[in-house]
Amino acid sequence: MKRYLDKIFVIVFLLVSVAIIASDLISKSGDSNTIKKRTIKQLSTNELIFEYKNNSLGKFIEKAIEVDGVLKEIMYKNNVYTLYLTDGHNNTYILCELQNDQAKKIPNLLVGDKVKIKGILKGHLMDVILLNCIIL
Amino acid sequence: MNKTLLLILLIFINHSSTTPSKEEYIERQGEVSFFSYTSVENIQATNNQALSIFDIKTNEVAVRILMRAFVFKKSLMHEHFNESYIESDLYPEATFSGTIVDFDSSITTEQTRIIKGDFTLKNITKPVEIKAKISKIDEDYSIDGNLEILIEDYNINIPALLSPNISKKIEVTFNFKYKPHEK
Repeated sequence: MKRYLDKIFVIVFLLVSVAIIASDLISKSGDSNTIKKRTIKQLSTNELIFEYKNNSLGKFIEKAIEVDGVLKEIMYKNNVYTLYLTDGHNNTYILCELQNDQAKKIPNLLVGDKVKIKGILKGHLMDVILLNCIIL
Repeated sequence: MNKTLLLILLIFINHSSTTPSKEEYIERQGEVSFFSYTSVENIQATNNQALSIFDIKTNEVAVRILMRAFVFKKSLMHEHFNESYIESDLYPEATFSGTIVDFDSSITTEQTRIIKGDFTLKNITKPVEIKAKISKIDEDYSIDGNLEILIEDYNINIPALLSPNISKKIEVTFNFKYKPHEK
């Protein structure tokens, strides 16, 4: 009887372990879906560039923010679409690398359109950079 | 123009006018990937946020890579990479500045050349030599190549438990497509 209980215990232990590992892999895999993330701030392109030039982007790093601005360029590179937003004054842009599921919205966009995006702020180089962006 | 000056120019570059330069070329979204191969696990990440300037008059190349922009298959890897290994809050960028040896801007076919320079990660700078292919396509240039970096060179601390999962030698590949720099 004891041997029988031991076998059940081992099987249950293995099943629970597999379930935990599988659940962890599912929850931790793939791109994060920005639409489910809470927006912590809504800004215009001009306001976000101001934050960058003021060295105060740190509070938004790895957070979801919404940005609206004028579409300067649509870039398709390395299998990813990126929208360049401008405030019309600076040659610093907001670079929004789109989530893969947003590609279907690209044909509806024209340079010069006003667009609003939501993305995860990663930092800056010459431009302010957001990844996993969705078009709102 | 020396390499440090080129890097400083890259950092503080100011687009105040829109005249294309015939000597400077720019890549705003270069691709950089890295690979770690071990018998336990293969790890790969890709980053499309590398900024680079290529000066065909001086043969100098400068690169800045936004470390938080590496995309991994698993978000847990992204978290470990940024929080524990690279400490991206403290060291948000990796940089490279170097010179292409024997580059000839008059050659219109592909050139394979060595780029000698300094790679900086986590404030630690090491000299590197990179074999790269340089091509001219119409008015644009492309440079692609690869290098290997040793994690012990850059003070990247891997916990003993995860040590078998991460290679001591990381293979880095890059692919930059440059356009004339408007400034």
